[in-house]
Order: sequence, then structure tokens, then C-alpha cells
Amino acid sequence: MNEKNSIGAFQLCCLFFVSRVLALFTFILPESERLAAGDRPLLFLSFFVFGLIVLLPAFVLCKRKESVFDLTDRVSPNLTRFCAVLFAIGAVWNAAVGLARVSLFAGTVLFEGVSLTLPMLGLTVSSVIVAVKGRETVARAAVIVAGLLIFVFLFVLVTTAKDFDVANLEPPFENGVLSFMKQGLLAVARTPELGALLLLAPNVKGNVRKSTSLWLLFFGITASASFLIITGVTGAFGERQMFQLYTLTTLSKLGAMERMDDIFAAVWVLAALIRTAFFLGLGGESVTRVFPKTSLKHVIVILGAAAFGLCLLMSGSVVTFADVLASDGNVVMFVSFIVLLPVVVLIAERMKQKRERNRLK
Amino acid sequence: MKKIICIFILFCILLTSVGCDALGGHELGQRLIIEAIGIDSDENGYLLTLQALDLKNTDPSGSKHPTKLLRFRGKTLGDAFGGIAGATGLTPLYSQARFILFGRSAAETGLGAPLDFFMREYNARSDVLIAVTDGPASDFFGSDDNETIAAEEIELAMESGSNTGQCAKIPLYCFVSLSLSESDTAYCPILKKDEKQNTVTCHRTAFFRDGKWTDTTDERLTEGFLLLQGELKNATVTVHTNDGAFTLRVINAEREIKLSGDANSQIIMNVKVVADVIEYESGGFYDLGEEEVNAVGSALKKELESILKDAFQTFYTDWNMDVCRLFRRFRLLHPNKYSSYNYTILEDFADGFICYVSVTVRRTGREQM
Amino acid sequence: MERPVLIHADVKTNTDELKRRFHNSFDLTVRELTVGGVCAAAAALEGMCSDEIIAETLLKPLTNESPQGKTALTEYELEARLYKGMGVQKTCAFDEVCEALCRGFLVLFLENAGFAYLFSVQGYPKKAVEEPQTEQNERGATEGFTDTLRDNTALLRRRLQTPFLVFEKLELGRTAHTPVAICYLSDRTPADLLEKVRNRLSVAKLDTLTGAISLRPFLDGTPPSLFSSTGFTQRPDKLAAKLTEGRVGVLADGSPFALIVPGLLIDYFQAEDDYASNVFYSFFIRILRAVSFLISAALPGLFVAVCDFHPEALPPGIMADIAAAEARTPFSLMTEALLIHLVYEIVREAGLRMPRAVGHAVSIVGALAVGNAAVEAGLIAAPMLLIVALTAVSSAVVPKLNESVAPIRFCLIILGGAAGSFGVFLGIGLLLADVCATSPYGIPFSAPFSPFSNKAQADSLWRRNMKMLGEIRQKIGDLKFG
Repeated sequence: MNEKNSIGAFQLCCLFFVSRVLALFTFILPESERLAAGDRPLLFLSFFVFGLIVLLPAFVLCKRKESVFDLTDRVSPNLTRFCAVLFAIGAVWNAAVGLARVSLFAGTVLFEGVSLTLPMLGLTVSSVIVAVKGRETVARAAVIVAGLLIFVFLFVLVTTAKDFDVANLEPPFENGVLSFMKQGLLAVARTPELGALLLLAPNVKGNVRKSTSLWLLFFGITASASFLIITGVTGAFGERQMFQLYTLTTLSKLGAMERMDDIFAAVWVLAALIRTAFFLGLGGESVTRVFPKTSLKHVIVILGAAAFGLCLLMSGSVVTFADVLASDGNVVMFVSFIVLLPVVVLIAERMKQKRERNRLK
Repeated sequence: MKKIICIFILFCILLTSVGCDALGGHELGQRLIIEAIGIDSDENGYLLTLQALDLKNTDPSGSKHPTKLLRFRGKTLGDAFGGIAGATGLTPLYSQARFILFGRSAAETGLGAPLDFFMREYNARSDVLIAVTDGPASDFFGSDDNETIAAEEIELAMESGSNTGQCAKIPLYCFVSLSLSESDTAYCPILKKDEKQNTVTCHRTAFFRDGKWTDTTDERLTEGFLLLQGELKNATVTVHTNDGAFTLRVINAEREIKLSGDANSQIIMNVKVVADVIEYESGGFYDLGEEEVNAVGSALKKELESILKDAFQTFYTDWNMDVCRLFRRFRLLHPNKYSSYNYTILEDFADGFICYVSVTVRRTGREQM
Repeated sequence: MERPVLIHADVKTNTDELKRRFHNSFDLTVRELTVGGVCAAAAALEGMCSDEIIAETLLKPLTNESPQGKTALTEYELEARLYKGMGVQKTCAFDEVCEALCRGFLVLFLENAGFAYLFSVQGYPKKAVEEPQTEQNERGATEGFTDTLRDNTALLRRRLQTPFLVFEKLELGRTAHTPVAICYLSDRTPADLLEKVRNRLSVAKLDTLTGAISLRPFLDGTPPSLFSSTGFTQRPDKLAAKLTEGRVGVLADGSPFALIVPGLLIDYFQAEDDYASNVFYSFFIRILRAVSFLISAALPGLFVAVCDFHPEALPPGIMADIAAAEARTPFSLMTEALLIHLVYEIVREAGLRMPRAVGHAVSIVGALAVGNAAVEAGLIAAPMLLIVALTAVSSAVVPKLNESVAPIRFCLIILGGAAGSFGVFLGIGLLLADVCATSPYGIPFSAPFSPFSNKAQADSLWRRNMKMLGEIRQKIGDLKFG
């Protein structure tokens, strides 16, 4: 293992948390895709189970301390190049989705009715700067940001819990268990961060499988608790708000400290910064697999520019963006990248090994 | 050198965007800080009355801030609000508004449309208080010639009314949630202005169907409503026993609801009341013995049970309003039976209401050690 | 390579060469004398040697006790006299003679010897050991480092009486040849850390070394960061404590500051007094320092952001006061914030540089003229003055971070004015990345929080009681990777 570029399993989980929490805060989906209010508090169960299933191939890689590229290298160097390009595209796409989420959120809440090109450019440039500083930097910063986010979460949940009304809740499984399971699977599919395990497996120190499993549970419970409080406090009003968690923060108050929502919302900017830097870093590393002589710094700058361009395209309309997020293409992409690809490569590598053994015999 | 030039260019971009409202920032002096909003409606649209801080006439060393009244008309509320910037040259800031007051006309026409504006406006507080007034809201704050009532005083009246069992205050998001739910009933306090003393009181409650003000409770029914909600605090209740009249302060009334979803639909409400004797009208100065205290407790129990039953009868039988959100609770507890019951459950429950009040008299005013 | 000039057998030639090398500098004193019947010359730089020591322990035994008319002393006899109670070295190289003279040695040339004796008779004026002015202490030790390397090493040795304490001597400064000492505990300090410190110091190409602090950029590494990962202290007890954690200290002659390598962010929030207080108080005070740092860096920026972009966060009463005050000032809030903080920095700098008596006057004038008059004239709003006062007081809580905080503060004001809390937090994010990216010795500057080290939490913001701390024995090497 390369100690220099290694990050701890705890740091990786903090990275996942920070990255995924951004999606939770800026949760935008078309009305048709909305999860039944009664199912939300139990979502963590299906999220955890499906998360574990989806991560099985990644866990195999973690055990072998090999990245997916190490395997593809053994199968065929061309396959490595192909996969690296796909991963780089995926990373840029996810970075752009994160930026677009922030853009729509900031355009609605923080800077109403103004062009957000400049702030988003600022965020992208900052993310590129952070990504260039390296994976360790991003991971270390993620630990601190995760701590800050958990504090904000707890503050909001604790200070709003007094307004919790059981009558606001809805019974679970109203749309049937199948719908509940489907939503759990979709929630996992909206966690592209998990794909990082396939690339970072050899560079993560500590018990990755245990940490990631605990993270799945922790994040699931955090999301469920948030949804429970959101529904219990804001009821039908919250249901009709575009950013429900943000709506909850607007109700949070402690003594003279009221309406801290914009400050809390700005904390989410830190999460966006880390998330974008993380994905740009991953994309950069994938590209340097294809072009080993290229400077990582330059690649990250180019990927950042691409992500910024995509973000501008996506964040034009909330409806379009919500449809993009809800499209089945995301699920297909997630399953292909994170489940099928490693499984196929693992099988191909095993078959190749077998063939070589037979040839030697 | 390249880096320095890059940093310098970035710095210049930043400086050019600073102070030019490029990202929607405004100096505080350029904002119209709205403290209270009054909304009336008629056939021509909406009349918006705003009580806003008058920064130009504020003495920076003084603790009081003069306010000014502004009125805007518009076909829609958005129209009316849109006129503010044009008329004053200032950007309205709704977040500091302490409450939104609807005139009778607007409340009877329906609060759906005006509240929709506030739901979509992130700048406004979700927890701003909602209230109605019998007359037009535009006159409520005073007129340009008369002395105005400060928004702070009106807010205080709502707070104290709520804290003394005289009215039930409600924030915007709760009002909207109740309005949006098919089974629930939205409500808000009614503000009354004493023209002579220029003061405000808040002591009744307005109830809404489909966003429209349809029913009004008197003081006793408001108490009953608050008891049903478990929100009756610091209310003053007078009871009569053989020993004379006792005035008690209900410190707290904790409510517990049990629903049974079997053939005999029942709602069992347990209310635990803690009260203090604050006055004993007996013509002299007497201490209270155990017997008197028990008698007072029984009388209070009887009185509160009567208030509760009357309130339940009015809301559930006469008005067909689910003010305790029983339907939703039932749905949560028995989701399978919910579909078969539907709204007829309210009628079933109206017949099966059982309430138990337990009273603890905590202080009698002259405790013996 | 140039051949070294050797000492001549003739005393006169040697003294002439010396005078030539020192360009007949007036402080070079050369006295001719006879030692044990042998012609000799003693040279020293005036003011660098102790006259008393020279007279008592050198000249007296050499000149007075020598029997008149007796034949010249043998070299053995001479050395027996010379070595009586003082440090003596012998050298044949003229360059070494010059260096020794500069360090306060007395040089003795003997006729026909071909070498010179170097007597350690330094006695230059120096400051006494005093309480450090920059790191005041309430309950701890009161001794601070002085400007003399020897005294400083002695102060440290007195606190770490162990043979594991090692001082490695270097000379830095192409012209000044300032003695510098690397100090460490050989049983605790990671070898690679020590090696890196040696390497970095060896490439420090300076003409003169004005103080140990000048070495910070060489020890900090690249890329440059707003925060220095080289700590410094004026307190020998603090340096001793840091050395026991396995860190490396750097002392330089002529500087009362010792550098500590590596320095971590958490060090800025710790003080020696914390260990003299109970654990709860020390936790409180450390949190207070961290909060003060945040206030001094971000409060003005956040204030501008909140007032311009998110006024809803202000409670109605406070907002009305701020709005009323701000409505009367001609400048935008951001310009006001920049101006008033600029004025504060000017007053602060003036207070530092001016003679102490005048410095007080400057502070008073600054407070009165800038504060009161500006508010009364309606140029600055009173709330902004309160913010700058809070910022100034907070920055005084962690003075060592002031040089990092001042530019951050200005940047955050601009970002807050340009993009509200979005901009401020973007700036904070970049700052965080800068802190997290700094790890010049493989030990992250942000440790022990990120990477999180459970063991090191025993003495981070929270401090365990001394009994537990004694058992835990923290080492800097443990923070290497998390």
C-alpha cells in the first residue's frame, strides 16, 4: 500500500457522509418519484440491506487490496483504458450533479433571482484547488466538515423536535412493501460515492468493509431521522416545499438565535466543495490511468471546467434537473459501474487465471 | 508572477461584484424592514398594509424605533408586494415580520391564495404567526394620523393570549399543514382592538374550512379547544363549592388520547390538570383544609369535563371539525381499517367520546408547614 | 578548493595578518607580551571578552608567575599552565582564528609555535534570563530564553536532565556564521523527522541570520501556506515539553525564540498554564481560544454577509438597531468593515513599533479619534465598531496566529460582501483545505482532529488529568498517519 496516498477507512466514510448529505439537503425529485411520507422513517432498513448487497463486489476488491483497474490490467490493458474513461465520465457527471444541486438550491434560497454563474464558478475553482491538493487533503477536510455537519444536523433536529406532532406522520407501507423496497434501492442508486471504493480499495487503511457497513447504517439512520422529524414537524407544509430539510432549518431556533438557515445552508457549501473536489480527484486519477504522462493537476482543471459546463446546462430548470435525477439512466449507470463491472471483471480475471493455469499444466 | 496576475484578476472580479447587488445583496439601509403585514381583499384584489421600520427618523441612540404604515394595492398579493420596491425604492424584507393579520374579508374569501405567496417566498418566515381580525386589517395598526400600535405589542397580545388560555396562536407552517390536510381543521386567533385605549386583545379563535373563515368560538369554547389540544396553560377558571367561589389558575393540562378502532369506536381522553388556587372568595381570610381542597378539585374537574364535552360536541357533532386530528391518529394506528372507515369515523367518534379529568391542586396560597 | 592559510611561526607576521583580515578594525586589540620567556601576542575583539577572566585566569598565570631570566618553558609546561581552569583549543588555521575571535575568544600566538591557542573567555554583554514578554504565564515557570545560545541550551538542559537530550550545532549565514542548535531527545524523535530538519536547515542560504524566526520558511516546506507549521516559543519549559513528545527544537544565537518542528494547529490553542489548571477549566479556556480565533478571523466577514445577504438571521430588535445605525453612514457595510479594520491594523502596528510611551498615546488616539469621532461624525456605525473591538480583543487571545488571521479576515470581509455566507464559507473551505494540506514532515497540521487520533485526544482541546497524561506518553510520530 502506498502510505503517502492512503486515507483511513474512517476518513473515507466521512467523505461519503459529506458527499451524500449534500444530496439529502438539496433533495429534488419530481412529484411522481417522491417517497411516501410514511415509508421515509424506515428507509434506512432497505437502504442498509441494498447498500450491503450492492457493495459486495467492492468488498471483494477491498479484501484483495486491489482496485478495479488492477484487475482490468490483468485482463486487458485496453479494458483498463475503457473503464478509466467511463469512471472519469461518471466522476465528472457526479461532480456536475453536485454543483447543479447547489446552484438550484442557492438560486432558490440564498441568491433569489440572480445569475449564479459567478458563485458556481467560484465553487468550481475552489473545488479544483482543493482537488489538486490531493486525496489526503480532501479526506482530512471531510472529517472536519462531517463533524460540522453532524453538529448542524443535531442542532436542527434537537431544536425543532419540540414541535413534533405525531398526527403529522403517515402510516408506513401505504403504497405496499414493494414500493418501499424500490425506494430503498433508488436511495442506494443515488449514492454514486460508493463507486469510489472500487478505485480506492488499495489505498484505504483500516477495516473498510466494517467502516462502510457502519456508514451505510449511520447515514441511513441520519436520513430516516431527518425525514421523521421533517414530516413530524412540518407536515403537509414541508411536503410541498422543494427543499424539505432546509425548511426544517428555517424553524430551528434557540433563544435569540433564529433563522440560522442561511448560515446552515452555507455550511452545505463546504459539503459541496468537498464532494466536487472528491469526484474531480477521482476523475483525475482515472484519466491519468489512460494518459499516465499527463499532469494530474492539468487533468483536474479540465475536468473541473467540464463539470462547470455540465452544471450550467443542468441547473437551468428545476423540472429538467429533477427529471435528470429521477431518470432510470442513473440506476442503470450505478448498477453497471458499481455492481456489474467489478463482477464481470472479477469473473474474467478468474477465467483468465484458470486458462493460464491449464496452459501451464 | 503568473499566479500574482491570476490572483489580481480574481480579486478584481470579486471587487466588481461587491456592493453592486450582483448577487442580490442589499445594504440594510436599502431594505424596507417589515414588522407586520395586514392583508385585506375585495373585488379589486388585495390591499396590503405594512408596518415597517422608519429608518430615516430613527434616533440611533434611542431604544425605540419609529415605524411607518404603507399601503399597496394589487390584483394579486404578488402584485401588491411587487409595488413596494417601485413606491419606496427599497427592497422588502419579510423575514422580520412578526405576524400576518388577515381582515375578515380576506379570511372569508379564503387564505389559500395569499398564503401560497408566503409558502413560495423563502425570505418569509415559515413560523410567522397568523391571525384574523373582525374588521379590515388595514385599520388595525392605526392610521397615518393616529398613533399606531406597534407590531411588537400585537405579537405580545397573541403570546400572552396563548399563554393564558385565551386564544390558540398558530404559525404559518402549521396553519398551511392543517389547511392542506383533508381531515384537519385550520384555526387562528382573532385579534380585537380597543380603539379608546389603543390596545389589542386576543381571546377568541377562528376556524377555517377549505381555507375560508367559517366558524368562531367564544371564550369558553376556546378554552375547550385548548383543553382538547392539551395546550391550556395559565388559564383562570372560577368554580363554586359550598364554601364559596374559588378562582384557580390551570398551570398545565396534559392530554392523552386513546383511540379504539373496534366496533364501538371510542375516543378516551385523559386530561391531567395541575392548578393553583389564586383566590378564595368567602368574605374573610380563611385557610383551606383538606376537605375544601378536595371540594375545589372536584369542582374544577367537573367544570373542565363539562367544558371538554361541550367543546367536543360543538366541534365534532355540530361543526364536523376534527380539531384533535383524530382521523390522522386513527389512520396511523389502524392503517388497514382506515380505508373502510374514511370520514364517517368522525361521526362514530362523536358518539363515543369519554373524557377523564384528574385535578391536582398544587398550591392553595397559604401553605401550612 | 582553496588551501587554508596556516599560522606563521613569527608572531609579528601573524598579528599583521590578523589586522589585515580585520581591516584594522578599531575593536581588534593586539597586545604583545612574554610568556615564560617566549615572545607572544594576545588578540581579542574588544567587548567580546571578559576583561576579568582574561586578567585573572589567563594573563596572571602566564606573565606574573613566569620566572624572570629563566629559559623558555617547554610546550608541555606552557600548556600545563594554560589549561589551568579554562577551555583552550589549539589551531593551525588562520580562518579558525578569525572565527574564534568573532565568537569572543582570545587568541594567543607564540613565537616559533606555528599554531595559536584559542581561549574561551567570552564576556560580551547579554541579557539576563527574564520572564518572556510574548508568552506570559500565570502559574508556570517564569524563565524565558535569552539571546545567547549557550544560556538557552543550559536553560533547556536544566529542564531535561537526561543524556538523551542532544544539541547538534550548525552554523548558518554565509557572512554571519550564526551558531544554531538543533535539539531533540534521541530516544523519542523519529529519525526521518530529524533528517528532514537537518536537510532543510542545511539548504537555508542566508547571508545573515537575524533570528531563529527567519528559519521558519525553510522549515515550513512547500507549497506555502497561510499557517506556519513551525511553532515557536520563548519558554524553555514549553520547548522541553514539546521535545518530550518527540519534536525537534531549533535554537539560534542572538534570538530568544526557539522553533518547534513540527508545529500543529492545536498547539496555538494550548498554553503552559493549562497544565496548572484543572481539566475542566483548561478545556474551557482552550475552547475559548479556538472560538476567539474563529471570531477574529470570520466575525467581520460573517457580519457583513449576514447584514447584506441574510438579515433574517438577525433578531428583530438587534436588526432594527443595526439598520438604524447603518442607514446613517455613507459607506457600504463592506467598505466600512474594510476601512475600520485597516485603521485597526494601522493603529496596532503603530502601537507595536512606536516607543512604549508613545505607543500608549497612539492607542488612545486611535481609540478616541477612530472610534468615537468616526461614529459621531456618522462615518462608521457603532455596531461595526463593536465588531472590530470584538475582533481585536479576540485576536489578542491567540497572538501567535495574528499574522495568519489578519489577511484571512480581509479576504472573508470581501467574500462576505460579494457572496454572503456562501462566499464566507467558500473561503473557510479553502482555508480548511489549506490547513489539511499542510503536512511538511508527514505529520498533518490538522492532527489530531483530522486524521483523528483517539490517543492524542488526551491532550488536544480536551486535556486529561496529569496522572493519565503521564501514563499515556504521547509521541508526535503516532500522528503520522490516521
